[in-house]
Amino acid sequence: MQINENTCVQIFYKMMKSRLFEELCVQLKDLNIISDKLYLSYGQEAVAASVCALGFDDMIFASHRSSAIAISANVSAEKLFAEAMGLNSGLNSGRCGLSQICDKNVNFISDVIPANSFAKAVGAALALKIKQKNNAVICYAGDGAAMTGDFFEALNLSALKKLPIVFYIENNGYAQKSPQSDYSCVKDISQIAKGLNITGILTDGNSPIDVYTATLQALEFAKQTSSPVIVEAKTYRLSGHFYDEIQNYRSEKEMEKWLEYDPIENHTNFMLKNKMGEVEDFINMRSKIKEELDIALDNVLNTLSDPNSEELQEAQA
Amino acid sequence: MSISSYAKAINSVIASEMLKDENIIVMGQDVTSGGQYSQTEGLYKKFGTRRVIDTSINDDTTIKTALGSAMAGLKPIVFINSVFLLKTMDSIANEVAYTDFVYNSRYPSSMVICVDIAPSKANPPQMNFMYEAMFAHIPAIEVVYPSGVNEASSLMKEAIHSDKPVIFLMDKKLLLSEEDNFIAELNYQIGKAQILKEGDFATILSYGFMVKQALIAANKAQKLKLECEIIDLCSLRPLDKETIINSVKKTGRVIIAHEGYKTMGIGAELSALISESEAFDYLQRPIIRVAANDTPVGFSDELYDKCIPDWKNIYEAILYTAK
Repeated sequence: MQINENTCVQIFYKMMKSRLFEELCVQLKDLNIISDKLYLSYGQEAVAASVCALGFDDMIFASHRSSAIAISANVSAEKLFAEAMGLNSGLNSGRCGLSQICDKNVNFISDVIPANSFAKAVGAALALKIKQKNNAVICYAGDGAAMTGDFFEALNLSALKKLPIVFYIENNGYAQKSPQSDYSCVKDISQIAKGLNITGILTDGNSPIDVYTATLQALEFAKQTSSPVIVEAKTYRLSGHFYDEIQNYRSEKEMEKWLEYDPIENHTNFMLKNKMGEVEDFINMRSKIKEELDIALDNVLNTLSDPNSEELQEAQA
Repeated sequence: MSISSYAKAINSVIASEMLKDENIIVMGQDVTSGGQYSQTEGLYKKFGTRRVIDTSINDDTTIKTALGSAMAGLKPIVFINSVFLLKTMDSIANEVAYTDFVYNSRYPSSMVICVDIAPSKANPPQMNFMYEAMFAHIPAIEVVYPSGVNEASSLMKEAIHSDKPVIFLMDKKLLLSEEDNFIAELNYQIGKAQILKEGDFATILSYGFMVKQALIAANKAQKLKLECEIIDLCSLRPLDKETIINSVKKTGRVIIAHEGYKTMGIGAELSALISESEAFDYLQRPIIRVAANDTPVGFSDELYDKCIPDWKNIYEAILYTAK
């Protein structure tokens, strides 16, 4: 499939914005400005950028590791920063932090409990079908969540009732600290689709083009045939399960291997090779995104130092 | 007034509400074939496979699916078997109850979860579900426990119209029993208790099956000129504090009667509520709880009767508090 330049730029923009957003979050965490645990998607940005394939009014369900997906889905970075700081001006008024957020403007709903989004997403797909809308639901979850009974039950129900839903398994190889071989009898989770007689697609989660193509194909199939699809994107979490986790469970060699297979670098090389831009263009784009995020963050930080701000008054009360 | 049963009354309320609002759907095991108590009889024929949806026995997933459909604009009524109710604790406590708070009221979570609960004879222990207190413990949901056909009918309508998720507890022993005093157009409210009999000697607080047992005991006590005030709580969350406190201030004696377990039960909450209120100063005698013994409920009649209280235990409590 030919992917146009505009889409490629979009994918780059989303991945870079996700990464820079999380880098800023880490800096804020180190400065004790944010208290959020930060379930980061460092290295998994290509999967988050798959939202480029969504149609208008499709619904997104996600897990605790969802800030990159939220950023990719155009949720306001300013509101996300504020949420991470637990401010009233945050996306959810500081009720849950970044691990459980929603934004009705872009139909984005995440849930902190792994696997609990599956059945809720099935219910949303059921509502779309009953209301005869030509939309689909996409439900992102990790490989750990895919080994729960909840996943099987959601798959069974959505296949039985013929619901337009894409179960997107972001397989980063680890459930918290446990490697996949410790808790899963299958290597490719997309294989589970066979037993349920539904479609399963396996894709390289660090190749943004493959991810985009697979997602588009899955969404089109789900909508056209009104049936569930499993997409499994193999990727790697370069950060810990949460930001300051003690990472004693994997080798540096393993991490280095994946650092060299970085999705943003892969995509940049792809675009350069296909003459979709010069090196300078990417540097400029990065600076522009950084600037956008800095402004968003400054806006939030300014409310903290503004003597009239609601936040400061609350803190002093 | 006419003859009806709890199940029939619920059925006709759901059918008429479904006619008025096309977003209402019914989900659960066996709902297309009418359910174990015919509570969904005929709905499938009237509203078809789009709105009356059979699910398997994975009730936790059923409730989460219903929640997702509510968030996307539908109004689900879910029927759950009490055997699986504890498996749904995650979906009810973690998801349904928290949705409004965690998503800042941006997504609706209004739904009705109907469960046939309570002990009944000739059941293995796990089928005698007496954990209503666990559900009443959860913030941000409403829990109703109707004691008869009129309460069931009126509260079901209220539950369907409530903005909040409602757990609709149906006593197995009451579901099929017919009553001849059915009035379709009563207006009970969630959170409002009903004073079924006025009296000034003692307040008897009860709900579900035990309400009628309390009435039997109170009628016997009346012969001894002990006039008891019977309050049917109707909803366990929220509790009608005002009605309870006013009654206790009048009588000064309290008996709490339920089939649920005593320790950490609804009675404990009611007792604490009274102790913390201005009614405490009016108490003339200690509060008495008539409740199930803290043991599993056995299959045989003998084991069942050892554990589950009835009107006789309430009557003894009245006599005790009169001493």
